[in-house]
Amino acid sequence: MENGFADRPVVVLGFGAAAVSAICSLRECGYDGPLTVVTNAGPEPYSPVLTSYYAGGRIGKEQCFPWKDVDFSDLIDDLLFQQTPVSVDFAAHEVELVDGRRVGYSKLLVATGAHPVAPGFPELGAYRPHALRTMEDADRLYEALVRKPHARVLVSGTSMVGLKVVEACLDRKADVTMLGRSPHILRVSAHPVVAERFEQLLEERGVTFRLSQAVERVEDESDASSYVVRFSNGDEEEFDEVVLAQGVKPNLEFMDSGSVEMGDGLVVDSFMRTSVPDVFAAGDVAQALDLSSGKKRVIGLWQNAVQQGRCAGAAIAAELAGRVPMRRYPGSIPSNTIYVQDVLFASAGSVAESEGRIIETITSPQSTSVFAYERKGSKDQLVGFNVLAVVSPDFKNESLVDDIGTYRRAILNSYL
Amino acid sequence: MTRKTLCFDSKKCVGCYACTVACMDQNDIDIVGDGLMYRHIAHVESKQAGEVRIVHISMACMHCDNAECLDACPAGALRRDADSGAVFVRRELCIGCHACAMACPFGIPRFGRDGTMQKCDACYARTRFGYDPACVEICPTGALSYEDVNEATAVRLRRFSKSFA
Repeated sequence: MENGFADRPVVVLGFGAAAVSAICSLRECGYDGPLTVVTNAGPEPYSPVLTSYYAGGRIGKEQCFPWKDVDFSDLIDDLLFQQTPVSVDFAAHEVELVDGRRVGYSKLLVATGAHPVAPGFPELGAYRPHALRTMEDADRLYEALVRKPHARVLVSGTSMVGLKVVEACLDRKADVTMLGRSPHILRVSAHPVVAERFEQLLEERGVTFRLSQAVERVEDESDASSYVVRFSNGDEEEFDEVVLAQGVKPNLEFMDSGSVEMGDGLVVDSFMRTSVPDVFAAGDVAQALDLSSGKKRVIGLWQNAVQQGRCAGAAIAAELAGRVPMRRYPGSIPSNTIYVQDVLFASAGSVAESEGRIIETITSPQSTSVFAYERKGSKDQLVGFNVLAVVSPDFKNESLVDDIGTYRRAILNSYL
Repeated sequence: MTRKTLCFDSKKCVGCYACTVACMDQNDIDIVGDGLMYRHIAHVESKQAGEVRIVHISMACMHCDNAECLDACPAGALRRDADSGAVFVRRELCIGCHACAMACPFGIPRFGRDGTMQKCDACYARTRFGYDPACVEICPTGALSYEDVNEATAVRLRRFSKSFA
């Protein structure tokens, strides 16, 4: 490294899946220099995916920390927790923290994750609605659901996170209503036929839906123990808790968008390098290759974060050792699985109807699946699927569910 | 400890199912009840030079070097044993989210009545004491073997190089 910053530590901003993966990869790839980690959370990394399981009571809080086997004191020289970056000076190779400290870096990895947003949701006065992202969020929802059994909960948002909240509420025997502006849940990933069936199955399990609706106003009751919500169709209903699950936004407020190429996130190449020398990005802040569209966009998945972090760590180690990075991030496709009670929904690729696409629907008493194909050469190539199934050991109908990995691989192979 | 790996030679497999039975026995899998088999046999038919050919494939978890299931598990339930290289599941940590099933290109993860994932662990209970996995020990034709990784690679390369002769 010839820019005069070689004696400085590698600095990792964030301490989630991408960051941990990068830290392990850095050390595995032979980097033995100083390493500083800055996180706005506590000293032990947790899995945001597990927060709904904890809030719903399926697992204990201690199980939300999946890296208990890793001795981070062996890997990290300086762990600055409960700290937030406020700016990055690319020329000086320094990160400014909220307490005024400036931390110099040789290489910087931005892996700060994302935070929930609720566009269009009205102000709630003193009441702070729930979200489900951090351990603090999970603690608060856990306490709310335990404090008041059979609480009336409004979940605003019909995304995967919204459904995870619904699952937690059902586990706690809460009376849950799901609200969304779209006519069906999972607008992006589910075909309307599958989404409609999913809604029916969830209604049978006690979920109430308010679709094609929005919240106009929320008023506190006089004792502030419940809230009257007025919906866009004129209805009014009382709830004990409100959970916002409308979407997330990368934590990049500290980055100067004029100095680095940014869209929804930080645009990266296949070695997770941003447009600024010595600055890398991974996880929910990285705008990497979406194989299905050929464009770069943020696909916030655990597996992507782990793989991107590993590539970033390997690339940083290689560059610091004067080697050419070898491990490329190949890109990914949108994919997800979600379990609500005994109903499994799995999706990968795109099932959106468009010209030239063949949509195949398979329905049985326990499942509804949609497969989307596109003609490529002389073959119909699988480009997306939805599998929705009631998975019960008594039904023995799991063949579609068992094969979701092979379907996903078939889609990936068509792009790689 | 020398790292070993499960190897399969389809030319030697006769599809006798001895490996699947040995696996069920070793792992106390009750398929009459709700047990899930870890090893399966696939019979693949093809036509070559006018003759029908059947190849038998004995399949279980491949314990991939680059195991995508490991990357996909958000609960830390999947781990690789540092000594044997086997990928194993800690069912007490599994949340049954099926992320591993979505990641595995071979359709290996299965989920039991308790909702947790189950799969082959390369007979860790045997191999740590120096025994071969049950499927290997029972295989009457030598189609399945448990070999030193380097030796297995050499065998594979020798077999491949013959195709140029």
